Amino acid sequence: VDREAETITYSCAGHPYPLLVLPDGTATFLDDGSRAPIAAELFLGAKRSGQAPLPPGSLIVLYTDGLIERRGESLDAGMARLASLARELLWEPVGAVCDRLIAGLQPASGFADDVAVVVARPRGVSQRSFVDVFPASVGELAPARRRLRAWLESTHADPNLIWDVITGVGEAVNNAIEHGSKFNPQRRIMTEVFASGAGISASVTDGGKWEADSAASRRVGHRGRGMLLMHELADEVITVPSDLGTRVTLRFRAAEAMSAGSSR
Amino acid sequence: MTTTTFELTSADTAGRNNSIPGTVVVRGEVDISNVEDFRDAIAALMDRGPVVLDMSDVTYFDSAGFAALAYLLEHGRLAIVVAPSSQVRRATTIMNVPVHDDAGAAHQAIAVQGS
Repeated sequence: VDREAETITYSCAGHPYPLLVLPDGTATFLDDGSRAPIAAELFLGAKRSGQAPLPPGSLIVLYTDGLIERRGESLDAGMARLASLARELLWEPVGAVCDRLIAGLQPASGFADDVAVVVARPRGVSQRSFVDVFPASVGELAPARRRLRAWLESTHADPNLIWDVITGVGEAVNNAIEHGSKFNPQRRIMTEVFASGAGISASVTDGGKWEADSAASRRVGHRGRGMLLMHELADEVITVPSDLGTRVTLRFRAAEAMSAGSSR
Repeated sequence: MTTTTFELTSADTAGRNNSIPGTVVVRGEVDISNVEDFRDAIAALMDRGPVVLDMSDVTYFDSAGFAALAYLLEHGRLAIVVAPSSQVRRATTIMNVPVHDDAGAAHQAIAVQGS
């Protein structure tokens, strides 16, 4: 991945073609870089790699064929189903995209083969998305806020909404630093924020496991306050723990943003 | 590296005594990275007499800041001003922090506290 040039260079060695969804919703299978399995290359030579645009706001899905294969059906049908579902999930956090692709593509009888899915999106901003990754350190809070604020202002969101999003996300990031990362700056925190006619949705993902609403976290002074602030500022707070980390999603002003020009 | 910073401006603290509260305006941002400095700075001012703290112009204030305010309100004579139009007003309401609309009301409240 070349972040400057906003491109991805890829080659497929036996796996199905990666799926690229661009910010405009165009879904393309990257079929330009097929090559022989790495071990066979010694004999066959001929490396092939392809290149594709990967601007901020796009999504890339890597998967094993178990995800799309169904007995008695062409591979094309499976690929079309994957592409259509991935387009719907374009403005969801990557962890949710993974979960929902697997849930949505699973046949009633269950998967026949093992399934691995990797979903990635580049850091950076598009008109509708903001993706940031930074070390789990309190020194990163102010610069991360500044980046988020700059993007929110570019969306012309209502100043009250901007305040609520920055404060709510700030509390989620505090939790991710304290609980998800135990103040270890080697850990990384990812924020994914999406703007749409239906308001603002912000997700903060860390690499740890913690219980968001446990009695223990409410007992500690500012921690309980942080939870209260987050829950009151956002319309909805969803915490999804997984083996890979904890993801907190805050939704703001879903109803209000739809009636343009409204103010609180 | 850019860090979180706040700034305190004291308009009338010079030569004040215990009966005349000093008005302190806080600007900038308070988060978990600088909240101890914030708490200690206000506590030091409160050690010299009652304080009216105007928070209307803060640009970020998180739960750690609110925990510090709760501590300071217990620690001594403090009245907080948040203008009704201020962005932080909604958060102070959520956090149940007693605030006054302007410095006049805050000074009155301090006077009542002291009597």
